[in-house]
Amino acid sequence: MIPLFYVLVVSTLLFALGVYGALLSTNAIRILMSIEMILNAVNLNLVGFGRYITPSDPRGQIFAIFVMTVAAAEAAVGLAIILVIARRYGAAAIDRVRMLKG
Amino acid sequence: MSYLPILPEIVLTAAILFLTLVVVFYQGENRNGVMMTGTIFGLSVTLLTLAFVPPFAGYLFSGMLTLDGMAFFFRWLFPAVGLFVAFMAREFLEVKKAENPGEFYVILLLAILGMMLMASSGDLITIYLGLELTSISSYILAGYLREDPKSGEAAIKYFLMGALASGVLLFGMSLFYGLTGATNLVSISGILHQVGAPPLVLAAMVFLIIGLGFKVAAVPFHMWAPDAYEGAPTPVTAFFSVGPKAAAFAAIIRVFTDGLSSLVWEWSLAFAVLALITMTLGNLTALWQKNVKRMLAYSSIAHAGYIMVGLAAGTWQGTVAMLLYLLAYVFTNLGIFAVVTALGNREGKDELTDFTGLSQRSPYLAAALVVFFLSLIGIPFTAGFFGKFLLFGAAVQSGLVWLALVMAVNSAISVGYYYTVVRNMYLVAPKNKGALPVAGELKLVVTVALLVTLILGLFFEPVLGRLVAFTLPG
Repeated sequence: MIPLFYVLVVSTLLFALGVYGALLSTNAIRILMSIEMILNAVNLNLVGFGRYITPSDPRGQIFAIFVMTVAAAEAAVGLAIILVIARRYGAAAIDRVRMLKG
Repeated sequence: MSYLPILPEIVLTAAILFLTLVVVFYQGENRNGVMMTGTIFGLSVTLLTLAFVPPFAGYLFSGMLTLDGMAFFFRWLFPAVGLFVAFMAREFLEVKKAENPGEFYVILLLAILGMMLMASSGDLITIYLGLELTSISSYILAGYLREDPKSGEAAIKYFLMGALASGVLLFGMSLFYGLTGATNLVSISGILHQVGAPPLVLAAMVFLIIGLGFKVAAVPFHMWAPDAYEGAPTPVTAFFSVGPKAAAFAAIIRVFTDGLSSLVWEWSLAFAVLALITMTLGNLTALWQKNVKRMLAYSSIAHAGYIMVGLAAGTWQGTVAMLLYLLAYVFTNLGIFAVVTALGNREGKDELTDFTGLSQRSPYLAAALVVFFLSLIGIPFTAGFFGKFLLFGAAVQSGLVWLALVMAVNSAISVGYYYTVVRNMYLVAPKNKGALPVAGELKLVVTVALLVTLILGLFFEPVLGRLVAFTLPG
Protein backbone atom coordinates (compact mmCIF):
# COMPACT_ATOMS: atom_id res chain seq x y z
CA MET A 1 0.00 0.00 0.00
CA ILE A 2 1.19 3.54 -0.77
CA PRO A 3 2.27 5.25 2.45
CA LEU A 4 0.29 8.27 3.67
CA PHE A 5 3.36 10.44 3.15
CA TYR A 6 3.04 10.24 -0.66
CA VAL A 7 -0.63 11.13 -0.54
CA LEU A 8 0.20 14.20 1.52
CA VAL A 9 3.02 15.24 -0.82
CA VAL A 10 0.67 15.14 -3.81
CA SER A 11 -2.08 17.01 -1.99
CA THR A 12 0.32 19.68 -0.72
CA LEU A 13 1.69 20.17 -4.23
CA LEU A 14 -1.83 20.42 -5.63
CA PHE A 15 -2.72 22.97 -2.97
CA ALA A 16 0.38 25.06 -3.62
CA LEU A 17 -0.23 25.00 -7.39
CA GLY A 18 -3.85 25.97 -6.85
CA VAL A 19 -2.99 28.94 -4.64
CA TYR A 20 -0.28 30.01 -7.08
CA GLY A 21 -2.68 29.84 -10.00
CA ALA A 22 -5.51 31.56 -8.17
CA LEU A 23 -3.36 34.47 -7.08
CA LEU A 24 -1.42 35.04 -10.33
CA SER A 25 -3.84 34.29 -13.15
CA THR A 26 -5.69 37.08 -14.91
CA ASN A 27 -8.26 34.81 -16.52
CA ALA A 28 -11.36 34.13 -14.44
CA ILE A 29 -11.81 30.60 -15.79
CA ARG A 30 -8.21 29.78 -14.95
CA ILE A 31 -8.68 31.13 -11.41
CA LEU A 32 -11.79 28.99 -11.05
CA MET A 33 -9.82 25.94 -12.20
CA SER A 34 -7.08 26.72 -9.68
CA ILE A 35 -9.66 26.92 -6.91
CA GLU A 36 -11.04 23.57 -7.99
CA MET A 37 -7.50 22.24 -7.70
CA ILE A 38 -7.32 23.45 -4.09
CA LEU A 39 -10.57 21.65 -3.38
CA ASN A 40 -9.17 18.49 -4.94
CA ALA A 41 -6.13 18.75 -2.72
CA VAL A 42 -8.52 18.96 0.24
CA ASN A 43 -10.43 15.91 -0.98
CA LEU A 44 -7.24 13.94 -1.37
CA ASN A 45 -6.28 14.91 2.17
CA LEU A 46 -9.65 13.94 3.56
CA VAL A 47 -9.81 10.59 1.82
CA GLY A 48 -6.17 9.80 2.60
CA PHE A 49 -6.53 10.66 6.26
CA GLY A 50 -9.79 8.74 6.38
CA ARG A 51 -8.11 5.64 4.98
CA TYR A 52 -4.96 5.74 7.13
CA ILE A 53 -5.88 7.51 10.37
CA THR A 54 -9.46 6.42 10.95
CA PRO A 55 -9.96 3.28 8.81
CA SER A 56 -13.12 2.27 10.64
CA ASP A 57 -14.74 5.71 10.48
CA PRO A 58 -16.04 6.94 7.09
CA ARG A 59 -16.12 10.58 8.27
CA GLY A 60 -13.37 11.72 5.91
CA GLN A 61 -14.98 10.17 2.86
CA ILE A 62 -18.34 11.70 3.79
CA PHE A 63 -16.71 15.10 4.18
CA ALA A 64 -15.10 14.67 0.74
CA ILE A 65 -18.48 13.89 -0.82
CA PHE A 66 -19.90 17.05 0.73
CA VAL A 67 -16.96 19.07 -0.57
CA MET A 68 -17.45 17.74 -4.09
CA THR A 69 -21.17 18.51 -4.04
CA VAL A 70 -20.67 22.04 -2.77
CA ALA A 71 -17.83 22.59 -5.26
CA ALA A 72 -20.19 21.68 -8.10
CA ALA A 73 -22.74 24.22 -6.87
CA GLU A 74 -20.04 26.82 -6.45
CA ALA A 75 -18.71 26.22 -9.96
CA ALA A 76 -22.22 26.56 -11.40
CA VAL A 77 -22.75 29.94 -9.74
CA GLY A 78 -19.22 31.04 -10.57
CA LEU A 79 -19.51 30.19 -14.26
CA ALA A 80 -22.82 32.07 -14.44
CA ILE A 81 -21.16 35.16 -12.96
CA ILE A 82 -18.19 34.80 -15.32
CA LEU A 83 -20.60 34.51 -18.24
CA VAL A 84 -22.23 37.84 -17.31
CA ILE A 85 -18.79 39.45 -17.13
CA ALA A 86 -17.62 37.82 -20.39
CA ARG A 87 -20.69 39.08 -22.27
CA ARG A 88 -19.90 42.63 -21.19
CA TYR A 89 -16.13 42.68 -21.53
CA GLY A 90 -15.75 40.21 -24.37
CA ALA A 91 -13.55 37.78 -22.49
CA ALA A 92 -13.08 36.30 -19.06
CA ALA A 93 -9.97 38.41 -18.57
CA ILE A 94 -10.68 40.01 -15.24
CA ASP A 95 -7.79 42.46 -15.44
CA ARG A 96 -10.08 44.46 -17.75
CA VAL A 97 -12.79 44.55 -15.09
CA ARG A 98 -11.79 47.59 -13.12
CA MET A 99 -14.62 50.06 -12.86
CA LEU A 100 -14.32 49.96 -9.08
CA LYS A 101 -11.00 51.13 -7.76
CA GLY A 102 -8.99 48.65 -5.81
CA MET B 1 -33.78 11.67 18.31
CA SER B 2 -36.13 14.58 18.16
CA TYR B 3 -36.40 17.13 15.41
CA LEU B 4 -38.32 19.56 17.60
CA PRO B 5 -35.34 21.78 18.60
CA ILE B 6 -34.59 22.65 14.98
CA LEU B 7 -38.22 23.33 14.10
CA PRO B 8 -37.40 27.01 13.28
CA GLU B 9 -34.92 25.90 10.62
CA ILE B 10 -37.44 23.39 9.27
CA VAL B 11 -40.09 26.11 9.06
CA LEU B 12 -37.66 28.40 7.24
CA THR B 13 -36.75 25.62 4.78
CA ALA B 14 -40.43 24.99 4.11
CA ALA B 15 -40.93 28.72 3.51
CA ILE B 16 -38.02 28.73 1.04
CA LEU B 17 -39.43 25.76 -0.88
CA PHE B 18 -42.91 27.29 -0.95
CA LEU B 19 -41.64 30.70 -2.09
CA THR B 20 -39.61 29.03 -4.84
CA LEU B 21 -42.86 27.58 -6.16
CA VAL B 22 -44.49 31.02 -5.89
CA VAL B 23 -41.67 32.57 -7.94
CA VAL B 24 -42.16 29.97 -10.66
CA PHE B 25 -45.94 29.76 -10.83
CA TYR B 26 -47.30 33.12 -9.72
CA GLN B 27 -47.59 35.30 -12.82
CA GLY B 28 -50.08 37.89 -11.52
CA GLU B 29 -49.78 41.52 -10.52
CA ASN B 30 -47.17 43.01 -8.14
CA ARG B 31 -44.92 39.98 -7.86
CA ASN B 32 -42.30 41.95 -5.97
CA GLY B 33 -44.76 42.99 -3.24
CA VAL B 34 -46.25 39.49 -2.99
CA MET B 35 -42.83 37.96 -2.57
CA MET B 36 -41.83 40.52 0.05
CA THR B 37 -44.97 39.77 2.02
CA GLY B 38 -44.30 36.04 1.74
CA THR B 39 -40.71 36.50 2.92
CA ILE B 40 -41.76 38.65 5.87
CA PHE B 41 -44.38 36.08 6.76
CA GLY B 42 -41.93 33.18 6.52
CA LEU B 43 -39.35 34.91 8.69
CA SER B 44 -41.96 35.98 11.24
CA VAL B 45 -43.23 32.42 11.56
CA THR B 46 -39.61 31.27 11.98
CA LEU B 47 -39.11 33.74 14.82
CA LEU B 48 -42.44 32.76 16.41
CA THR B 49 -41.48 29.09 16.25
CA LEU B 50 -38.17 29.93 17.85
CA ALA B 51 -40.04 31.65 20.68
CA PHE B 52 -42.41 28.75 21.30
CA VAL B 53 -40.18 25.73 20.80
CA PRO B 54 -39.35 24.34 24.25
CA PRO B 55 -35.81 25.40 25.20
CA PHE B 56 -33.20 22.81 24.44
CA ALA B 57 -29.51 22.89 25.21
CA GLY B 58 -27.09 20.24 24.04
CA TYR B 59 -25.89 18.38 20.99
CA LEU B 60 -28.04 17.11 18.14
CA PHE B 61 -27.48 14.59 15.33
CA SER B 62 -24.41 12.98 16.95
CA GLY B 63 -22.74 16.31 17.63
CA MET B 64 -23.38 17.89 14.22
CA LEU B 65 -25.32 20.74 15.82
CA THR B 66 -24.64 22.49 19.12
CA LEU B 67 -27.65 24.29 20.50
CA ASP B 68 -26.46 26.53 23.30
CA GLY B 69 -26.95 30.13 24.33
CA MET B 70 -24.83 31.50 21.53
CA ALA B 71 -26.69 29.47 18.92
CA PHE B 72 -29.96 30.76 20.37
CA PHE B 73 -28.71 34.35 20.17
CA PHE B 74 -27.72 34.09 16.53
CA ARG B 75 -30.82 32.14 15.55
CA TRP B 76 -32.80 35.16 16.76
CA LEU B 77 -30.52 37.69 15.18
CA PHE B 78 -30.33 36.35 11.64
CA PRO B 79 -34.06 36.11 10.80
CA ALA B 80 -34.39 39.63 12.24
CA VAL B 81 -31.66 40.78 9.83
CA GLY B 82 -33.60 39.07 7.03
CA LEU B 83 -36.76 41.01 7.95
CA PHE B 84 -34.88 44.32 7.74
CA VAL B 85 -33.25 43.48 4.40
CA ALA B 86 -36.51 42.25 2.85
CA PHE B 87 -38.18 45.54 3.80
CA MET B 88 -35.30 47.49 2.29
CA ALA B 89 -35.24 45.50 -0.93
CA ARG B 90 -38.73 46.01 -2.36
CA GLU B 91 -38.53 49.61 -3.45
CA PHE B 92 -34.91 49.23 -4.51
CA LEU B 93 -35.69 46.32 -6.84
CA GLU B 94 -38.58 48.30 -8.28
CA VAL B 95 -36.49 51.43 -8.89
CA LYS B 96 -33.64 49.46 -10.49
CA LYS B 97 -36.11 47.47 -12.61
CA ALA B 98 -34.54 44.15 -11.60
CA GLU B 99 -35.63 41.13 -13.63
CA ASN B 100 -37.37 38.47 -11.57
CA PRO B 101 -37.42 40.41 -8.29
CA GLY B 102 -38.97 37.40 -6.58
CA GLU B 103 -35.85 35.27 -6.75
CA PHE B 104 -33.98 37.85 -4.68
CA TYR B 105 -36.02 37.00 -1.60
CA VAL B 106 -35.61 33.25 -1.98
CA ILE B 107 -31.83 33.56 -2.22
CA LEU B 108 -31.80 35.93 0.74
CA LEU B 109 -33.68 33.35 2.81
CA LEU B 110 -31.23 30.64 1.75
CA ALA B 111 -28.35 32.78 2.96
CA ILE B 112 -30.12 33.27 6.29
CA LEU B 113 -30.68 29.54 6.66
CA GLY B 114 -26.97 29.00 6.06
CA MET B 115 -26.10 31.60 8.67
CA MET B 116 -28.37 29.97 11.26
CA LEU B 117 -26.74 26.62 10.51
CA MET B 118 -23.26 28.11 10.86
CA ALA B 119 -24.02 29.61 14.25
CA SER B 120 -25.36 26.37 15.68
CA SER B 121 -22.87 23.96 14.14
CA GLY B 122 -20.80 21.64 16.28
CA ASP B 123 -18.77 19.94 13.59
CA LEU B 124 -16.36 21.06 10.87
CA ILE B 125 -18.69 19.57 8.24
CA THR B 126 -21.71 21.60 9.32
CA ILE B 127 -19.63 24.76 9.63
CA TYR B 128 -18.42 24.26 6.06
CA LEU B 129 -21.91 23.54 4.74
CA GLY B 130 -23.43 26.56 6.48
CA LEU B 131 -20.59 28.78 5.31
CA GLU B 132 -20.96 27.70 1.71
CA LEU B 133 -24.74 28.00 1.72
CA THR B 134 -24.31 31.57 2.93
CA SER B 135 -21.42 32.38 0.60
CA ILE B 136 -22.88 30.96 -2.61
CA SER B 137 -26.16 32.77 -1.97
CA SER B 138 -24.19 35.95 -1.29
CA TYR B 139 -22.33 35.71 -4.62
CA ILE B 140 -25.66 35.57 -6.43
CA LEU B 141 -27.06 38.49 -4.42
CA ALA B 142 -23.96 40.62 -5.14
CA GLY B 143 -24.48 40.19 -8.89
CA TYR B 144 -28.23 40.46 -8.75
CA LEU B 145 -28.53 43.51 -11.03
CA ARG B 146 -27.35 41.87 -14.23
CA GLU B 147 -27.64 45.04 -16.29
CA ASP B 148 -25.37 46.97 -13.91
CA PRO B 149 -21.66 46.41 -14.70
CA LYS B 150 -20.71 47.41 -11.14
CA SER B 151 -22.89 44.66 -9.74
CA GLY B 152 -21.26 42.07 -12.00
CA GLU B 153 -17.82 43.25 -10.99
CA ALA B 154 -18.75 43.07 -7.31
CA ALA B 155 -20.02 39.53 -7.84
CA ILE B 156 -16.93 38.24 -9.62
CA LYS B 157 -14.50 39.75 -7.15
CA TYR B 158 -16.51 38.48 -4.20
CA PHE B 159 -16.85 35.07 -5.80
CA LEU B 160 -13.20 34.52 -6.68
CA MET B 161 -11.95 35.75 -3.32
CA GLY B 162 -14.65 33.93 -1.38
CA ALA B 163 -14.08 30.64 -3.18
CA LEU B 164 -10.32 30.89 -2.63
CA ALA B 165 -10.91 31.62 1.07
CA SER B 166 -13.23 28.62 1.36
CA GLY B 167 -10.55 26.45 -0.23
CA VAL B 168 -7.87 27.62 2.21
CA LEU B 169 -10.24 27.21 5.17
CA LEU B 170 -11.13 23.74 3.99
CA PHE B 171 -7.48 22.76 3.67
CA GLY B 172 -7.00 23.76 7.30
CA MET B 173 -10.04 21.71 8.28
CA SER B 174 -8.70 18.67 6.45
CA LEU B 175 -5.40 19.02 8.30
CA PHE B 176 -7.22 19.15 11.63
CA TYR B 177 -9.10 16.02 10.66
CA GLY B 178 -5.82 14.32 9.84
CA LEU B 179 -4.15 15.47 13.05
CA THR B 180 -6.96 14.53 15.41
CA GLY B 181 -8.93 11.92 13.48
CA ALA B 182 -12.12 13.80 14.33
CA THR B 183 -14.30 16.47 12.76
CA ASN B 184 -16.40 17.14 15.82
CA LEU B 185 -15.31 20.30 17.59
CA VAL B 186 -15.69 18.81 21.08
CA SER B 187 -13.62 15.73 20.15
CA ILE B 188 -11.00 17.91 18.46
CA SER B 189 -10.77 20.03 21.59
CA GLY B 190 -10.32 16.95 23.78
CA ILE B 191 -7.56 15.50 21.60
CA LEU B 192 -5.74 18.82 21.24
CA HIS B 193 -5.68 19.18 25.02
CA GLN B 194 -3.64 15.98 25.13
CA VAL B 195 -1.20 16.65 22.29
CA GLY B 196 -0.39 20.27 23.10
CA ALA B 197 0.72 22.52 20.22
CA PRO B 198 3.02 20.78 17.72
CA PRO B 199 4.03 22.94 14.71
CA LEU B 200 1.65 21.21 12.30
CA VAL B 201 -1.33 22.05 14.52
CA LEU B 202 -0.27 25.69 14.48
CA ALA B 203 0.12 25.59 10.67
CA ALA B 204 -3.39 24.17 10.33
CA MET B 205 -4.65 26.88 12.66
CA VAL B 206 -3.10 29.53 10.42
CA PHE B 207 -5.12 28.18 7.47
CA LEU B 208 -8.31 28.47 9.52
CA ILE B 209 -7.46 32.03 10.56
CA ILE B 210 -6.75 33.05 6.95
CA GLY B 211 -9.92 31.42 5.62
CA LEU B 212 -12.22 32.89 8.26
CA GLY B 213 -10.29 36.19 8.16
CA PHE B 214 -11.34 36.53 4.51
CA LYS B 215 -14.95 35.98 5.44
CA VAL B 216 -15.01 38.72 8.08
CA ALA B 217 -12.88 40.98 5.83
CA ALA B 218 -10.00 41.37 8.27
CA VAL B 219 -6.99 43.31 6.96
CA PRO B 220 -4.87 41.98 5.08
CA PHE B 221 -7.60 39.73 3.66
CA HIS B 222 -10.06 42.58 3.04
CA MET B 223 -9.34 43.64 -0.55
CA TRP B 224 -12.56 42.14 -1.91
CA ALA B 225 -14.79 43.94 0.58
CA PRO B 226 -14.79 47.58 -0.64
CA ASP B 227 -15.41 46.53 -4.26
CA ALA B 228 -18.08 44.01 -3.37
CA TYR B 229 -19.79 46.48 -1.03
CA GLU B 230 -19.73 49.34 -3.51
CA GLY B 231 -20.89 47.35 -6.51
CA ALA B 232 -23.56 45.21 -4.87
CA PRO B 233 -27.18 46.41 -4.72
CA THR B 234 -27.54 48.63 -1.62
CA PRO B 235 -29.86 46.32 0.39
CA VAL B 236 -27.41 43.51 -0.34
CA THR B 237 -24.52 45.67 0.89
CA ALA B 238 -26.52 46.21 4.07
CA PHE B 239 -26.91 42.45 4.34
CA PHE B 240 -23.21 41.74 3.67
CA SER B 241 -22.03 44.21 6.25
CA VAL B 242 -24.04 42.54 9.01
CA GLY B 243 -25.24 39.06 8.05
CA PRO B 244 -22.39 36.98 6.63
CA LYS B 245 -19.97 38.97 8.77
CA ALA B 246 -21.79 38.16 12.02
CA ALA B 247 -22.17 34.55 10.88
CA ALA B 248 -18.45 34.30 10.17
CA PHE B 249 -17.78 35.64 13.66
CA ALA B 250 -20.14 32.99 15.02
CA ALA B 251 -18.14 30.36 13.13
CA ILE B 252 -14.90 31.83 14.48
CA ILE B 253 -16.20 31.66 18.06
CA ARG B 254 -17.32 28.08 17.45
CA VAL B 255 -14.06 26.89 15.90
CA PHE B 256 -11.66 28.71 18.19
CA THR B 257 -13.34 28.78 21.59
CA ASP B 258 -15.07 25.38 21.24
CA GLY B 259 -12.61 23.45 19.10
CA LEU B 260 -9.18 24.99 19.65
CA SER B 261 -9.61 25.98 23.30
CA SER B 262 -6.22 24.52 24.20
CA LEU B 263 -4.44 26.88 21.80
CA VAL B 264 -6.03 30.01 23.24
CA TRP B 265 -2.70 31.73 23.82
CA GLU B 266 -1.63 31.30 20.19
CA TRP B 267 -4.84 32.34 18.47
CA SER B 268 -5.62 35.21 20.80
CA LEU B 269 -2.22 36.66 19.92
CA ALA B 270 -2.93 36.25 16.20
CA PHE B 271 -6.31 37.95 16.58
CA ALA B 272 -4.79 40.77 18.61
CA VAL B 273 -2.42 41.57 15.73
CA LEU B 274 -5.23 41.22 13.16
CA ALA B 275 -7.51 43.45 15.25
CA LEU B 276 -4.83 46.11 15.50
CA ILE B 277 -4.14 46.37 11.77
CA THR B 278 -7.77 45.82 10.76
CA MET B 279 -9.21 48.68 12.76
CA THR B 280 -6.37 51.08 12.05
CA LEU B 281 -6.27 50.50 8.30
CA GLY B 282 -10.06 50.39 7.99
CA ASN B 283 -10.50 53.72 9.74
CA LEU B 284 -7.64 55.49 8.00
CA THR B 285 -8.73 54.39 4.52
CA ALA B 286 -12.35 55.33 5.21
CA LEU B 287 -11.26 58.94 5.62
CA TRP B 288 -10.46 59.28 1.90
CA GLN B 289 -13.59 57.76 0.37
CA LYS B 290 -16.03 59.64 -1.89
CA ASN B 291 -18.67 56.94 -2.25
CA VAL B 292 -20.79 56.36 0.82
CA LYS B 293 -21.06 52.59 0.30
CA ARG B 294 -17.30 52.35 -0.02
CA MET B 295 -16.84 54.46 3.09
CA LEU B 296 -19.23 52.23 5.00
CA ALA B 297 -17.33 49.20 3.69
CA TYR B 298 -14.14 50.48 5.30
CA SER B 299 -16.12 51.42 8.40
CA SER B 300 -17.41 47.85 8.60
CA ILE B 301 -13.85 46.55 8.18
CA ALA B 302 -12.85 48.74 11.13
CA HIS B 303 -15.74 47.37 13.16
CA ALA B 304 -14.64 43.82 12.39
CA GLY B 305 -11.35 44.92 13.94
CA TYR B 306 -13.09 46.12 17.10
CA ILE B 307 -15.03 42.86 17.37
CA MET B 308 -11.80 40.88 17.05
CA VAL B 309 -10.59 42.57 20.24
CA GLY B 310 -13.06 40.26 22.00
CA LEU B 311 -11.28 37.28 20.43
CA ALA B 312 -7.90 38.70 21.35
CA ALA B 313 -9.06 38.78 24.97
CA GLY B 314 -9.61 35.03 24.70
CA THR B 315 -11.98 34.87 27.66
CA TRP B 316 -15.71 34.32 27.94
CA GLN B 317 -16.05 37.99 28.87
CA GLY B 318 -14.55 38.69 25.46
CA THR B 319 -17.13 36.45 23.82
CA VAL B 320 -20.02 38.16 25.63
CA ALA B 321 -18.65 41.55 24.61
CA MET B 322 -18.41 40.38 20.99
CA LEU B 323 -22.02 39.22 20.98
CA LEU B 324 -23.29 42.46 22.51
CA TYR B 325 -21.17 44.51 20.11
CA LEU B 326 -22.48 42.50 17.16
CA LEU B 327 -26.06 43.11 18.33
CA ALA B 328 -25.49 46.86 18.54
CA TYR B 329 -23.51 47.01 15.30
CA VAL B 330 -26.02 44.95 13.30
CA PHE B 331 -29.03 47.11 14.04
CA THR B 332 -27.15 50.39 13.80
CA ASN B 333 -25.64 49.48 10.45
CA LEU B 334 -28.97 48.26 9.08
CA GLY B 335 -30.44 51.65 10.00
CA ILE B 336 -27.63 53.49 8.22
CA PHE B 337 -28.08 51.42 5.10
CA ALA B 338 -31.84 51.99 5.16
CA VAL B 339 -31.14 55.73 4.96
CA VAL B 340 -28.56 55.16 2.19
CA THR B 341 -31.10 53.04 0.30
CA ALA B 342 -33.81 55.67 0.67
CA LEU B 343 -31.47 58.32 -0.70
CA GLY B 344 -29.98 56.08 -3.39
CA ASN B 345 -33.43 55.16 -4.70
CA ARG B 346 -33.93 58.84 -5.60
CA GLU B 347 -30.40 60.07 -6.35
CA GLY B 348 -28.99 56.83 -7.68
CA LYS B 349 -25.27 57.42 -7.22
CA ASP B 350 -24.53 56.94 -3.51
CA GLU B 351 -21.91 59.71 -3.47
CA LEU B 352 -21.18 61.54 -0.23
CA THR B 353 -22.33 64.76 -1.94
CA ASP B 354 -25.82 63.25 -2.28
CA PHE B 355 -26.22 63.83 1.44
CA THR B 356 -26.02 67.62 1.12
CA GLY B 357 -28.95 69.32 2.78
CA LEU B 358 -30.60 66.10 3.87
CA SER B 359 -31.55 67.82 7.13
CA GLN B 360 -33.91 70.03 5.12
CA ARG B 361 -35.09 67.41 2.66
CA SER B 362 -35.86 64.78 5.27
CA PRO B 363 -35.17 65.94 8.84
CA TYR B 364 -36.15 62.60 10.33
CA LEU B 365 -33.71 60.52 8.26
CA ALA B 366 -30.91 63.02 8.87
CA ALA B 367 -31.47 62.98 12.63
CA ALA B 368 -31.69 59.18 12.67
CA LEU B 369 -28.44 58.94 10.72
CA VAL B 370 -26.71 61.14 13.29
CA VAL B 371 -27.85 58.82 16.10
CA PHE B 372 -26.60 55.79 14.15
CA PHE B 373 -23.22 57.40 13.60
CA LEU B 374 -22.98 58.27 17.29
CA SER B 375 -23.68 54.63 18.06
CA LEU B 376 -20.95 53.45 15.68
CA ILE B 377 -18.50 55.90 17.25
CA GLY B 378 -19.52 54.67 20.69
CA ILE B 379 -21.03 57.74 22.35
CA PRO B 380 -22.82 57.01 25.67
CA PHE B 381 -26.58 56.27 25.68
CA THR B 382 -26.41 54.57 22.30
CA ALA B 383 -26.08 50.84 21.70
CA GLY B 384 -22.54 51.07 20.39
CA PHE B 385 -21.22 52.56 23.60
CA PHE B 386 -21.90 49.52 25.74
CA GLY B 387 -20.52 47.19 23.10
CA LYS B 388 -17.28 49.16 23.03
CA PHE B 389 -17.27 49.51 26.80
CA LEU B 390 -17.48 45.75 27.28
CA LEU B 391 -14.85 45.03 24.62
CA PHE B 392 -12.61 47.57 26.31
CA GLY B 393 -13.18 45.93 29.69
CA ALA B 394 -12.52 42.44 28.33
CA ALA B 395 -9.27 43.60 26.71
CA VAL B 396 -8.05 45.31 29.88
CA GLN B 397 -8.96 42.29 31.98
CA SER B 398 -6.79 40.09 29.74
CA GLY B 399 -3.88 42.52 30.08
CA LEU B 400 -4.26 43.98 26.58
CA VAL B 401 -4.26 47.61 27.69
CA TRP B 402 -2.38 48.65 24.53
CA LEU B 403 -5.09 47.12 22.32
CA ALA B 404 -7.80 48.89 24.31
CA LEU B 405 -5.99 52.18 23.83
CA VAL B 406 -5.62 51.59 20.08
CA MET B 407 -9.35 50.95 19.99
CA ALA B 408 -10.08 54.24 21.73
CA VAL B 409 -7.78 56.16 19.35
CA ASN B 410 -9.46 54.47 16.38
CA SER B 411 -12.91 55.46 17.60
CA ALA B 412 -11.66 59.03 17.64
CA ILE B 413 -10.33 58.72 14.06
CA SER B 414 -13.67 57.35 12.89
CA VAL B 415 -15.37 60.59 13.96
CA GLY B 416 -13.61 62.18 10.97
CA TYR B 417 -15.45 60.37 8.21
CA TYR B 418 -18.79 60.16 9.94
CA TYR B 419 -18.57 63.92 10.48
CA THR B 420 -18.15 64.48 6.71
CA VAL B 421 -21.61 63.04 6.16
CA VAL B 422 -23.11 64.96 9.08
CA ARG B 423 -21.60 68.21 7.83
CA ASN B 424 -22.96 67.57 4.34
CA MET B 425 -26.40 66.95 5.80
CA TYR B 426 -26.58 69.96 8.10
CA LEU B 427 -24.17 72.63 6.92
CA VAL B 428 -24.01 72.35 3.12
CA ALA B 429 -26.78 73.70 0.91
CA PRO B 430 -28.69 70.94 -0.91
CA LYS B 431 -27.88 70.07 -4.51
CA ASN B 432 -31.42 68.94 -5.18
CA LYS B 433 -34.10 70.89 -3.36
CA GLY B 434 -37.47 69.56 -2.30
CA ALA B 435 -38.54 66.96 0.22
CA LEU B 436 -37.13 63.46 -0.23
CA PRO B 437 -39.92 60.96 -0.86
CA VAL B 438 -39.30 57.92 1.35
CA ALA B 439 -41.14 54.61 1.05
CA GLY B 440 -43.17 53.62 4.12
CA GLU B 441 -41.30 50.39 4.79
CA LEU B 442 -37.94 52.17 4.73
CA LYS B 443 -39.24 54.61 7.35
CA LEU B 444 -40.36 51.62 9.39
CA VAL B 445 -36.90 50.02 9.14
CA VAL B 446 -35.20 53.26 10.19
CA THR B 447 -37.60 53.69 13.11
CA VAL B 448 -37.15 50.16 14.40
CA ALA B 449 -33.36 50.36 14.05
CA LEU B 450 -33.42 53.70 15.87
CA LEU B 451 -35.53 52.27 18.69
CA VAL B 452 -33.26 49.26 19.08
CA THR B 453 -30.17 51.48 19.09
CA LEU B 454 -31.58 53.77 21.75
CA ILE B 455 -33.24 51.09 23.90
CA LEU B 456 -30.09 48.97 23.88
CA GLY B 457 -28.16 52.07 24.82
CA LEU B 458 -30.41 53.07 27.68
CA PHE B 459 -31.41 49.68 29.08
CA PHE B 460 -28.60 47.36 28.18
CA GLU B 461 -28.42 45.62 31.55
CA PRO B 462 -31.20 43.04 31.03
CA VAL B 463 -29.77 42.18 27.59
CA LEU B 464 -26.30 41.82 29.04
CA GLY B 465 -27.69 39.69 31.88
CA ARG B 466 -29.34 37.33 29.40
CA LEU B 467 -26.16 37.10 27.33
CA VAL B 468 -24.02 36.40 30.38
CA ALA B 469 -26.45 33.73 31.54
CA PHE B 470 -26.29 32.23 28.04
CA THR B 471 -22.58 32.05 27.66
CA LEU B 472 -21.40 31.52 31.24
CA PRO B 473 -18.91 28.67 31.20
CA GLY B 474 -19.84 25.42 32.91
